[in-house]
Parts: sequence; C-alpha cells; structure tokens
Amino acid sequence: METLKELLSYKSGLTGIAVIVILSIAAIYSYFAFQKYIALWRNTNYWSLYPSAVPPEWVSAFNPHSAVPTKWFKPINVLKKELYGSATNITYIFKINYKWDVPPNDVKIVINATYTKFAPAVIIKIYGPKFKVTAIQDTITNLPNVISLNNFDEAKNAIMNWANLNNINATLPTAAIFRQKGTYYITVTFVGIGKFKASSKLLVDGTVYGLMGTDVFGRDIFIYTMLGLPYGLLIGILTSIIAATWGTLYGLVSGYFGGWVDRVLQRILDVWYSIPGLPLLILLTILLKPNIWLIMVLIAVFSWMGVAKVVRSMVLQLKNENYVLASKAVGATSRWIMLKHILPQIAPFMMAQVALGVPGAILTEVSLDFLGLGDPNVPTWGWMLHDANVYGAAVNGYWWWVLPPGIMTALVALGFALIGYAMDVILNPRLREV
Amino acid sequence: MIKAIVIALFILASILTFTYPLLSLVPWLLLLVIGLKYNKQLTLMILSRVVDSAIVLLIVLIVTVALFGGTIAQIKKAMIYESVKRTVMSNPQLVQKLGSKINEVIKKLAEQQIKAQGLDKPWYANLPNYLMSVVTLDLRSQVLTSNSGSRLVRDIIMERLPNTVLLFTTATIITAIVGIALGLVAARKRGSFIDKFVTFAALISASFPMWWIGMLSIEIFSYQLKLFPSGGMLSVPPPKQPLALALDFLRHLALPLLTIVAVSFGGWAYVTRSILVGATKEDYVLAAKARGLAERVILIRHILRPSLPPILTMVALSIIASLSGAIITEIVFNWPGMGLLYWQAIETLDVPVVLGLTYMFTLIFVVTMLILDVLYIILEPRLRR
Repeated sequence: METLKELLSYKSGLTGIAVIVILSIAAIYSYFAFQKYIALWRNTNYWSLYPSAVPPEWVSAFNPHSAVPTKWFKPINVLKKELYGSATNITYIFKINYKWDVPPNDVKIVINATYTKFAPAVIIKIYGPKFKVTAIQDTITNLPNVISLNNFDEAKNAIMNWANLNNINATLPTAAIFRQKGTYYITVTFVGIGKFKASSKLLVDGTVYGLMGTDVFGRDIFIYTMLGLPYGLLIGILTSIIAATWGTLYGLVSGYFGGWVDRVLQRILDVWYSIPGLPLLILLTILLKPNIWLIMVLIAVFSWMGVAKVVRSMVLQLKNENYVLASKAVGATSRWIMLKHILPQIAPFMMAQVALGVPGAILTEVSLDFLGLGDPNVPTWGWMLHDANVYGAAVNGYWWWVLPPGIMTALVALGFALIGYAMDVILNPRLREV
Repeated sequence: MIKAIVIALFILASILTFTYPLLSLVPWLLLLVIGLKYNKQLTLMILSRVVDSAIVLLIVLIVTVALFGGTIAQIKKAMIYESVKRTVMSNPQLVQKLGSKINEVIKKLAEQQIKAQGLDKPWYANLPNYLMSVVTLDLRSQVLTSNSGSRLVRDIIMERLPNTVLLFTTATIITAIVGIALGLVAARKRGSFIDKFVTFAALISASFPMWWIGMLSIEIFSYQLKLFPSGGMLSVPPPKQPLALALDFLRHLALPLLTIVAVSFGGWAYVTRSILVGATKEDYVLAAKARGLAERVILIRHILRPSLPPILTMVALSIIASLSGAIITEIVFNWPGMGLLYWQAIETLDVPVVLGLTYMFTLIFVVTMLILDVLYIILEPRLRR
C-alpha cells in the first residue's frame, strides 16, 4: 500500500497506472461486448460478406462524398400478396439514398427462405434514377444464401448485358448501376406455392468501413484490436507473474540456504542465462503446437533468471538482519523465516519485477504469433500483424491494418514499463533525483 | 612483458581455432599454464566460465536432438539410401546386371549400412552420433539449398552467416556508440532536453517490437517515399561495377540498420545513464571532489572506470535481445541472413536446417556471452585479485 502511494506520487508511475487501468477497463468491456467474435476469428466465410481491406470511415472526413461507407440495410417495406390459387408473393423493398461520387465495392443481398414443398422463386430488381434492371430471376435452390451483384455470375451477367445494351461503360455491375447520386430501390421478391417464410437484408460493401477498416478477409480490425486487449493483458501479466514467482522462490532458496545449494543453483542459473530463448521457444512451439496457456508457461521458462538473481542478492543481505537472527535463536524453522520475515521484505521488489517483465513477455508472445507459431484460435495482435505481413500490408499500403495492433502492443508494454521504472526509482533510492 | 605474451598467445590461439582447430590446442594450453602460474584465481574463473559455456552448448544440443531424435534417424536413413542409390546407379554395368531387382538390392545395401551405423536403435543410443553430425553441421537439408545448389546444411548456413553478422555487428556498434554517448550526456546534464529525450527513447525501446517499426518504416520509406528498397540485400540482378555494387548494398542496408538503431539506442542510453547517475552518488566521488580533483579526472577515473563492468553486463543483455530480434527483423526486411533462413526452414519444415541453425544461434550466443564475461572478469578489479 505504501509503495502504491509512493508510486502514484511519481509522474511516470501515475501515467503508467492510468494507462493500465484504462486499458484494463477497455479489456473487460471488449471481452464481453465482442465475445461472439472470438469464435468467428478464423471464420473467413462469415467475414467474406464485408469488403476486403478497406480503410476506416474517417479517412473521408474532409470529403464525405468521396468514399462509400459499409452499411446494412433493412427493408423499408414488406409487401405480401396472395395470388390466385395458393401462391404467395412477398416483396422486400430496400431504399438506398446514394450520395457518393464513387460506386460501392459490392452490393450483397442475403436471402433466406423456409418452405415445405415447392422452392419459391426469387426476383431481384434494381430501380435507379430513370432505369430498371432485373438482376436475378431464379428458384431459390439455384441461388446462394448471399447474392453478390459483382461476383455471383447470374446477377453479374444480367446486369452487364443490360449495361451493354444501354451503352453504359463500366467494368463492374455496381459501377454500371451506381453511376450517379440519387435514390435507388432494390426489390427482392419471393414467389412460391404453398406456405413459406422468407427474409432478406442488404449490405452495401463500401470503400471504407467502420472505425478501423477491414483486413483482406473482411474482418473488422476494430473488433479484433479490442479483443486483442484482454488476451494481451492476460498473457503479459500471467506470464510475468509465473516467471517472477518462480524466480523469487529460486532466489529465496538459493540465497537463504547458501552453501552447496546456492552454488548448485547459481551454476544452473548461469547455464540457463546463456541459453538463447527465442530460437528454443520457436523450436518448442513448432514441436508442441501449444495452446495459449502452455505458451505462457514456455515464455516464463525463459524469463525468470533476472528475478532470481535480484532476489538472491537481497536475501543474502536480509538473512543476516537482527530480527531474522533473533527469530532463528528462538527456534523458528527455515520455512517460517522465509515466509514471514524475508518474503514480505522482497514482495515490493517482486511487484516491480512483475511490472518490468510484462513488456518482454507480451513482445515475445506477439513475436511468436507474428511468426505464425502461436495459438491460432486466439485473436491476438501478433496474429493480426502476421496476417498483415503475409498478405502484403506494406506493399499495398494497408496502414490501418498494421498500426492498431502495434500501437496497442506498445501501449500495454509502455504502461508496465512506466510502472516498472517508477518502482525501480522508488526501490533504488540512489537513482532518485536530488 | 607477460601481458604482451598473453595477448599475443591469445590472438594466435583465436586465429588458429578457426583455421586449424587441433593445432590451436597448443597456444590455449600454454595460456592456461601461464595463467595458472601468474594469476590462478582469474584463470580458474575464466576456465569455469568456459566449462559453463560448453555445458550450455551440450544441454541445448541434447535437448534439440532429443526433441527431433526420431526425425534425425529418418533423415540419416534417407541420406544413406540416397547415397547407396547414387553409387549403384553410377555403375552402368551393375545396373545392367541387376535389371529389375535393382531396387531390392539398393534397399538391402542401405539396410546393411543403416544397421552398421546403428541407426535401427532408438535415438538415445545414437546420441553421440547425432550430436557429432549436428556439431559439424554434416546434415543434408530436405528442401532448402544454398545458392550454389548444395544441400549440405553447413554450406547453406555458412552462406547466410556473414550477412547476419554484418547487419547486426554494424547495428550493435552504432547503437553502442550512440547509446553510450547519449547516456553520458544525459547523466552529466540531468533534467536537460537530452535527458528527457533519452527517457523517451528508452520507453520506445522497451515497448515497441523492432520488427513492427521495421514494417512501418518499409511502408513509409520504401513504398510511400520510395527512398530505400523494401528488402533484400542486393538488387536483382546486382550491378556489375564494384562501386555501384557497394552503393546498392548500402542502400539495402540503410533501412534495417536505421530501424535497429532507432529502436535499440534508447535502452542503452537509459541504462548507461542510470549506472552513471548511481556512480556519481558514491562516497568516493564525493571524496574525490573534496580533494579538489579536476572534473575530467573524476569523470574518467571515479565515475566511468567503475561503471564499466555493469555497462558491460548491459551490453551482454542487449546483445541477447538483439539476437532474438534479429530473427524476426530479418524476416521483415527479407535480409538473407540466418534469421530469414530459420523462418524458411520452419515454413518448409526442413528439420536438418532448423537443427543446424538452433545450434548456430546457441553457439554465437554462448561465445558472445563468454567473451563478455571474460572481459567482465578482467575489468572488474574486485574479481581480479
């Protein structure tokens, strides 16, 4: 508690704690808010609905008509008509108020129908300013669940034929349709015999998307940057705690018992110090294909040595303090002395070591994921950067894909580094400014 | 006199180690004898460090070989089969004589050799055998080849080694000079602009992944501003003139070098500053001031000299960090060094190359640590006598 108070009196300590507190709150929030997207992380099918690798919406802030935002549309009206016999006609009408200078990347129409006997037919028509075109006219069994005007051949051919007949010069269907600003209506009609249920919604794949854009798979970068936060914090803190705990125990035993125990343990420590961590970590991850928990343990295995060294040298001093000697004189056991007298004294140092260890731990984990060796089912910043690198983010200038994960990693590391530095100054009074 | 002899012997021994390893034993043993005679404690200390390094190498080797034990046996069997096949096939008379039974004969011969080499036994029985082939890098790669087309892991790695050493020694030297100089200035003028800049740079060092800065700098400096090439070590095809070739190389070197230096110098500067600030508060510095010694003399003799060993420790730790960073930084910059090779080997699951490289990384690492430790022992007066 005393240390915490002192920590807050330092500018760097205060900044660090503020950063970590804000990030932790954001982490808890995003974990619960975006929970369902964790399972969708590798589901490229789900994300293929969305535009691939488009920048965030705010890039067109100064020129709002220059980029089309990605937006879901719900029908403004549903018309249901009983036809002769037992036939039913359900029409969904979508209204798009098009006010952008460029055509959208794509328009996707999601159709769903449940029927008993006869598959209903689907007719999709597009009404633009002074024109009308029929894009789809087919039974639903021949149609995919998501109809892309640019990529589904039937729709594409129909629209391009119409464009050719009317001398419209365009390479893509959406470019042929959205040539000017104005109001567009798209109608989706289901016609079927017997009872059936249908639903439809429409997505305009824009040239910009949301707060942070999308990656090449169409994944929302904002969601996954935020989801990386709980994992990043968890990995960093837990790994560091494992390493610091083991290091403290090791240093405690080594320093307290001294003699041959100390000599053997120090020798092992020296050997461990000279083992190159990352190459071996890489090797182990290739072989074990570990999940996220095992990765944390593996990283900790290669990062506890510093703590052990510091703790040992502290214990060497503490074990000759008068109160320890007094305790020994009245017959306290070694365990009692270590736990009751020495451990509380080194606890603040351990905390500092935990804080100082977090940046290294998180950077290592991000690096492993960047190499494609981490747990693929966990949406981490390292995986985002891995995908960015593999899919040529630098060549194509997808800065919105590279910046957020890196900055967030750095922010977490920075927060803990600030706390660590401040604690270092508090615990080593010599560094204090006079 | 004895100092000169020791230094001369050391240089001779170092050179011989790389050229005639067996012959180098003579100067090393001579050094040992001289050392034991004139400064027993120091020699024993250095000796125990050398033994430690050897233990580390052995442990890492055994662990990696154990991990890949089964795979190595398979690789070796495949190698034997290949070589038997080649010898049989290169003998046309034999091929004609054997006719359709040729594959059976090859298999039989190969199995004989496999048995003769003991490869049908479990991996631990063959440990010395395996260790030898990893240590001498006498393995055949499965996928990757060297530029000259060789499949020998030794050739592949030796081709890449100079590139890594070139990039990272240059970067480390520049970082050391910039970092230590800035740390010195910051320690002398605490609270100044440079001092604040050092703290800021240190925070960047501690928190940004080097390869991420690399990705960004590629995007900005090579794709947006088109100042530097985006990766590789030479243009394809490389220019013919020596001068143009050197310039081309420097242009490729610039971006990775700048990235590494920009990310690492802050840490060096900050630690140097901390050590020096700690040293200025020692009692003996105050005593020196009280005696009225010149500022320069105090700085060099009372502050810098005792700060050298801890600074050296920092050097060791940051070299460790940069070696680990090297692997990924090379991948981002497509720098044809060992890091990139490691990545390629992982991607293609070329186990022999992975094994060889792990050994090489450990070797470089251990030798660097050993040299720094020995320097530490020599520089630290409390350990010297």
